Amino acid sequence: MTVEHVEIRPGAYADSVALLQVSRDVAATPGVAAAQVAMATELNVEVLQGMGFTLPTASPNDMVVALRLDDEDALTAALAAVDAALAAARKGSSGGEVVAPPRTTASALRRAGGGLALVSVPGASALVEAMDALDAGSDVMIFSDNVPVEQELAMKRIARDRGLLVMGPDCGTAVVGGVGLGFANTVTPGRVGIVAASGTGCQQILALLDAAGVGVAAALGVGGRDLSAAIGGISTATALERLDADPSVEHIVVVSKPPAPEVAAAVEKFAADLSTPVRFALLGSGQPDLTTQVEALLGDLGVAVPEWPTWGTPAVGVDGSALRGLFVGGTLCDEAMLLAAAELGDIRSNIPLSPELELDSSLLSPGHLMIDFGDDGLTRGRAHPMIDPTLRLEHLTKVAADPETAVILMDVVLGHGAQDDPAADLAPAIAAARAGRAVPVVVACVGTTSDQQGLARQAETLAAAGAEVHLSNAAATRRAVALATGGAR
Amino acid sequence: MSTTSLPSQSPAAVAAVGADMFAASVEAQAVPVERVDWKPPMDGTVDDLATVAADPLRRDANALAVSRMLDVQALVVGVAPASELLGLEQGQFLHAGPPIEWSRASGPLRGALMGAAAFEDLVENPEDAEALFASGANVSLEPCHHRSAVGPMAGVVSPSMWMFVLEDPATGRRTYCSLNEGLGKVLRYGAYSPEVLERLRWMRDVLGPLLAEGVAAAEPMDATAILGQMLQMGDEAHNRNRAGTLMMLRDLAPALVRSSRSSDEIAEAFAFMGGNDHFFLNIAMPACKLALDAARDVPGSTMVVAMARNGTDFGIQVSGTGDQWFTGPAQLADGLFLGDYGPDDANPDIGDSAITETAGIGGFAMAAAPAIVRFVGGTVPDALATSRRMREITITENNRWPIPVLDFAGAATGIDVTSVCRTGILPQINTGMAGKVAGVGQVGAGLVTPPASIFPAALAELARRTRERARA
Amino acid sequence: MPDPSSSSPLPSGRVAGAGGTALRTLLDGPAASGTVVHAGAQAVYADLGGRVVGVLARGAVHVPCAIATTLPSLPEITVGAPVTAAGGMLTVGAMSVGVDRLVGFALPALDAAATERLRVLDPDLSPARDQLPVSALERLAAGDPDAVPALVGRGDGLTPVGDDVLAGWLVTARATGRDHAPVTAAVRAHLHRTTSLSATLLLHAADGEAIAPFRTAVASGDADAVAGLLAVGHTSGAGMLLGATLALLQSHSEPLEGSPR
Repeated sequence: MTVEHVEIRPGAYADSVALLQVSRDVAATPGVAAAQVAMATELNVEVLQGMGFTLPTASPNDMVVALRLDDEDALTAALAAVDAALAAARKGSSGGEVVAPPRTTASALRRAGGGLALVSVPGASALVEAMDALDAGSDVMIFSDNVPVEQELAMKRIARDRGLLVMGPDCGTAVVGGVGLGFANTVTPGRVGIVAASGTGCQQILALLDAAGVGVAAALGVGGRDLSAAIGGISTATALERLDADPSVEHIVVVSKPPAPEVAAAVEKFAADLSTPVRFALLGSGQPDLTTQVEALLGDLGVAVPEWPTWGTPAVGVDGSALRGLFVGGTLCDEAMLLAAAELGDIRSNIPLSPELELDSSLLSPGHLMIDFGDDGLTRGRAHPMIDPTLRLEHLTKVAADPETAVILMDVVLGHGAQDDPAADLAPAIAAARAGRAVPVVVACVGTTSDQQGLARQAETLAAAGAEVHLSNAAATRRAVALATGGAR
Repeated sequence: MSTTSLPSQSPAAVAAVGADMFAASVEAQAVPVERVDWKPPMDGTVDDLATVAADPLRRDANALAVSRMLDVQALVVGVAPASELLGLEQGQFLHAGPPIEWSRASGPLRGALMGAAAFEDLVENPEDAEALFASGANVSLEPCHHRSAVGPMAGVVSPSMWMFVLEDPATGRRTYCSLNEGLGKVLRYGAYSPEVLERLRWMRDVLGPLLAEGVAAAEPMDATAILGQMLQMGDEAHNRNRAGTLMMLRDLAPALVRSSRSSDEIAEAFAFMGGNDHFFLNIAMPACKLALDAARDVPGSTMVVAMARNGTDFGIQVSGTGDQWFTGPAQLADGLFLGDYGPDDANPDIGDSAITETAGIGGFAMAAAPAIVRFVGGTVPDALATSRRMREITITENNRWPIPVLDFAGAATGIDVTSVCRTGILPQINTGMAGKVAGVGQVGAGLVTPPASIFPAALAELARRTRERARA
Repeated sequence: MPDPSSSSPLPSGRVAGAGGTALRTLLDGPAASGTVVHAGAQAVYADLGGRVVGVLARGAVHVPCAIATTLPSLPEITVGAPVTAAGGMLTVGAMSVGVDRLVGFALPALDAAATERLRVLDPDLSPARDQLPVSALERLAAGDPDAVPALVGRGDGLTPVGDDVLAGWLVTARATGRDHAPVTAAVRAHLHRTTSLSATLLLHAADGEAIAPFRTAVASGDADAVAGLLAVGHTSGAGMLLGATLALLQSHSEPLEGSPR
């Protein structure tokens, strides 16, 4: 037998939405079959009558509490629920408001009031985020790889039309106004501007200029494909223009793997028309190495070429005939292969100078070999070796144990994005590798004196573990070649 | 080139999307970083998103579409029967949402059509109209949107119904909407009882002609400006139109009092309009449509220009794809119910009133009307979060419609199909709920979103057109 | 919202900062201590044995002697509170700030076109000019060190307007290759007559370092950039630009017309 309870509360007001909530809360109370708390407007009175309630006369300014209860005992609890729900409705919510983060690059740039966009989403979505930046009038750096070349062309064309710069895709390194983006070094502000289609090549130049006491205004990455025939150097031209227009920039250097010849010609012609002198440091067979290029640049600047820093005692050769290079930097690996191949002949690699020298997936083979652990093929499903050294350290143990190994050549790249303390992992591994047969280990330690890892501390730790450490990758490579050919024995 | 883009100067801020280590590294260099909470886009949209994002027309097309929309001023310039305004003839009926035939029509739409048929004296009793519509003889159904009109809920318009006329003085373009009947048992919720028809006849014979006289005599009422004021007064102009209705009465009162009608009729009309907090909705809706219609047909634009539901299908139209509808199943609203009604009694989402959300108010301006959020048991922070979240999927903000509590940020305006597909954030709509059985009327109110699938469908068509242009 | 500190490579309490190489060298050098001489929400300055070092909140104009941070406002600190510089960090109360990014403050070589734009623009520098003796400004324009005593420390505030004029002159004279040694020497000799902060900024100016709005305005001659500079401080921007125009006046064969005001 159900019981009805109807009461009028004159002068009590709550808005209709609040009361709908109250009604719902009260109806959910045990023992309550139906509940309606409402202002006694004509419509609500009709609704209440429709529910079968009998109402006394009431004005629209009165609140009606109408309850249908399972039995009389439920009334106290039900009325308490009404009061609690009304109180809750008046009180509202408490607590501070948390603003949800932006969901798109457009929204983030809007909230930041402009700035530069840094995109590292999966390649298939990179263009969409980058276009947000170009639509907002912002430059963009795209770290993402696997961006289809036609998408790269499309966004670079749009950027060119709008006077904006697309750094990338697959751009690992940039320095804009001293801010290191991706894998980049802390540099002293200065008068050199760099355009880089190669990340670790750029970092080598930053390191050498720092050692020579020359500051860098900016290093603009353009992505490894920018100087290909498909892209035609669109971002390179924009970057050159930007640097040329910057009064702080007195000299420009362009670093790249060999570009498509017609693109190289066009870019060189473009550069010749600028008011700022441009030097091209293009890696390739028969081309000067990066250290030589930096030395020439220092000549342009009227700065004396310093003795490039080395740490540790000169390595001593052992038996064996093969040079084994284990790199994290693709361009550093390339440069080492170009230098070494001229002396040693064929070098097998996962990024070989010619296709027939391709290594299989074991990454092991007789003879000289150089591996780029940062290559896309070895970073699928794992972090870049500058962040996670596991794979390279495993390989170090393998090649050190191989009696054919005459010398091990490695690079260590410091700066933003890299491990906090790479020597902490690498030094013990080098010491362990040399514990049995004292195979010489030559390291190119690429960093600036301002890098947070501490260039000297890293280099000295590696040297203490028995490595011969160079700032110049070319110098390290020459030493390794000498050790492999017995010249140093 | 501006001096701020000198490469030797550090960027004022960095927006980082993707791997957090890069964002953290920039932050550690004392550069402000705004991190994007990136998630993969809706299934199957990656390639179409890239195609449309790279469309050379897109950015300027969207800028043009929104600027056209924001330039519109909607003035209430007249009130007249649909037969005069739209050339609607006996047997022709307009309805809300995308096109639909009787066989697929929902309960409330059928109920409204049956009531309208009786109102037009095509049948004696509303029930007799079922056979008439089923036969299709001498009757036709057409969306309001195809006649520059909008209608709330079932949105049924027949020739004798009086409509507001809104006009953009700069272009002379017009939109139309019927007069609001009030809440409860009303035709637009599918009710067709004798008192519903009686009220419609009074609106035809007294209210319509009176308003026509008043509007003609008064200064044209600026609906766009009133909408801006409503947002300052706790209305979001979809489920809360209280302030708007009062402002309309204030503007029209002198002219109405001076009309040729008797003081009894005028008093009756005042009581009717003043007693119906939703009266202004039927001005807000055509004002929104007038603005959005200006944004139509801009090739390459990804902006949504209409969202509408017929109780069965939810449809959108997009500026860059002409009059094509992209439809999916209308959803059930989540909200509170009147009296004993519950979720089983509710019909799926219905009405052209989502034109308000399309224009940036309604659910999008929830922060202006925190009371509305309680429809779903939400909180005031929910309301603020909703309005902010909607900004993630719109092209711009409407500075004529500022929201005080959001520091007077303009209402999020111009839903971008690509942004919806990228973020998975669906437009938030405030809505009334009709009973699913013809004749029942309103059963509640709540919040609803469109079916997600219609946005990838619209995106696919935009991408197809982009590719076609690229080939040409 | 992701907690920004959660993924930061910096330890908690350690605030990322950007500053000049001189500051970085100072913090990497022997440990030093001092006290807070000015404390505000936007800037805190400390005196470390006569050299003033600052910490700035986001948006404050980056002066060469300060470390810029991205903090919306600085933690509350009282004047006289102890400050230490050691191990690459400046520690003020609970806040430790390093120089994690190197910022350049040098004015690049000036081009004639920018200087000409500046001349044609003829900005209103009277707010600074009216506070200073005409004879001293004329002497400074001529590169006469006798101008210095009448200008150092002249005016109100942390950076008196006379010092702003001298700073603008020093930086510009260096960039244009003018002989600035006599004026520089006179400035160094009179530093005790101004506030410690202003003295530090004059030392930076003698090394060719100035705030970005000044560098941009003088290097570009752009009207917006000049307006941006004039908005710095009460009269600081105008003072610095006045100094720059006085330095440019004598470095070009066409003398710059003095303002008729």
